[in-house]
Amino acid sequence: MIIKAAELAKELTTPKLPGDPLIITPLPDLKDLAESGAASLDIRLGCWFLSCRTIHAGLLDVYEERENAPNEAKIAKSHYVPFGESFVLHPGAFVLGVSLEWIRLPGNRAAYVIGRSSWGRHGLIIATATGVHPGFTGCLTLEMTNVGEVPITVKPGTQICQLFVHQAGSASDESRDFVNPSEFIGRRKPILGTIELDDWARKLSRRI
Amino acid sequence: MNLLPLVDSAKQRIESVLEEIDRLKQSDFPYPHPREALGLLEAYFMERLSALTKAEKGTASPAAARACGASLQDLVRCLPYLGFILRSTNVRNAFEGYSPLLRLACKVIGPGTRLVVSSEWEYSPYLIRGMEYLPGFVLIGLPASESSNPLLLPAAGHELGHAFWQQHNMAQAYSDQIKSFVVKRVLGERWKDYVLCFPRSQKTDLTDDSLFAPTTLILTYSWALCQAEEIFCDVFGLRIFGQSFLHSLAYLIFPGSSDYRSPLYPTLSTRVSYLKKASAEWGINVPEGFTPPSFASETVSTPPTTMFLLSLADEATAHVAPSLIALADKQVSERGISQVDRDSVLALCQDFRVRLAPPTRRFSLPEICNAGWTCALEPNLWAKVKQLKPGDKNRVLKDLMWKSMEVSEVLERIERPL
Repeated sequence: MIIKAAELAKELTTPKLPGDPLIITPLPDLKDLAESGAASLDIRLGCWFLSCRTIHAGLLDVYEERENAPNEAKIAKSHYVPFGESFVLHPGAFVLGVSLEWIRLPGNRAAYVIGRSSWGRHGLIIATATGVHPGFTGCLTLEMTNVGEVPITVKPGTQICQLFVHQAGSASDESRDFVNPSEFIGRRKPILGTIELDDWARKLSRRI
Repeated sequence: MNLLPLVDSAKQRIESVLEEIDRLKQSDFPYPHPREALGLLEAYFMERLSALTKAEKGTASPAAARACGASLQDLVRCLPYLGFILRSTNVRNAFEGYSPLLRLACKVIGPGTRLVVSSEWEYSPYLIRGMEYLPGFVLIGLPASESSNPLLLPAAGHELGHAFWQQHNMAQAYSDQIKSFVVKRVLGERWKDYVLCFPRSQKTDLTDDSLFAPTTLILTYSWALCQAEEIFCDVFGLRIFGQSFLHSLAYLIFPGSSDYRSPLYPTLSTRVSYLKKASAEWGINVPEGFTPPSFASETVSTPPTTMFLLSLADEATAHVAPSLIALADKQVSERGISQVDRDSVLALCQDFRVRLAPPTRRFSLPEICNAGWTCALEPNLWAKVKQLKPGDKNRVLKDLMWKSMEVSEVLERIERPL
């Protein structure tokens, strides 16, 4: 069940369980949110970006043994764009951005990050399938790519995508459960992260 | 084969630095002030180049030689500034700290203050002096290895103290007091020691008139003045950042060095004692253990004359220390910086500790630093938070602190009219 914006506004003001609140910081305009009639809330673009160092990055081989894999600093470069300045995303370019908002989901909520159609119509695709798990806390890494034909300028602080918040478990179920620790939790900058392979994937990817 | 003519080589040197400035201007500047600094330096060297071009006709003249020498001196002095400005753009810097620090600098130094903060390859935080090339600029260097550590931002309070000391020419104000005290002390209780070091001296040689200061005591005067400045900067930083200043200072310099005592600084135990004194006066709780470990012996085998001059400098510093503490308090208060509000710090700690999120309202940089240190010292912080691994505590706390600074900046901008 998607939680409507009016309900989210209430939850942001008076959390049902103070020890496990829904948090969006900086707080959106709650009056606007309550009156929007929407089923999502807008998320803004933050100041940090991570792009690929194409001249250093070779083939992205997730099957490489972890100790041989290049670290993030070798294959990705950080950029800081202060408020008032722009980041230009060229056609075909892919970059990781970050949400301006620090988001914390309670143990009975999950969310999806979806692009905004207004940006999508101009070619900017954001976070095609980003699930946010119960108990997540931190800024969201946003995968951004320009599939259009002209460069697109984005500025920190702009509403860039939307967050659909869901009930995790049945509405009557008040129990709360939290996602396991991960490298994505509690961060303010975008992170490339590692693609984890489970035992099945490791075994099946070996040559016989 | 003849040398390249003086003026030609001087012009080429200036042209090279101008080319370098042009390249640096293409860097990604997170804030406008480093770019403005480059613009000022560029204009300065353009003028130099133009002066050299005029001097070209009289290559062999003394005036031309003087112009070449002056331009060389400018290069020697300014090249480190260019490096500093370049390093200020490095993304290892946590740029979220810039705006709150600038706001603080504007309050302390003046509304038009220009600030450049860089992560430097020197461990001790420092302020770049000799700003005749960059008037109105404050250049603060923080250690590169700690550039992502907001817990050490209070150390910048000490550097702001240096900027204040310079801007208000406090050295001049304290110089006479120090000289007068030293001369009286030597003519009184320390006369026997003085004669042992300078056997042919007569009491009539000594005068506290600064114009006729005895050369024997010049080192004492300059050491005492430097030490006084350090004490002022310590208590200045303490007054702005409260207890968090003590934590960051201890992190950066404890246990001190056991093998060398710089005469330009008071001993570590002396610095600590004045910080404790000021803390007591201002109601700041001193953290337990804020005492240099006993193994940090600061006595070394120094020539007796040097020991004597240094001990006089220490005494002179001790003489002016109470007024330095009072001055720091007065100046910071007059600039509208109130003491760190404990209730705000506690509220922010709750945000970090319980909500695991930055606050929804604005907090000042000192409040954020104090809340950060309070949480950092809690051994069981987030121990029961299932989403975090125990080893993530420091990383997450630092990100929360930087994000809190950014949120405060966002709210400050939102409150301004369009």
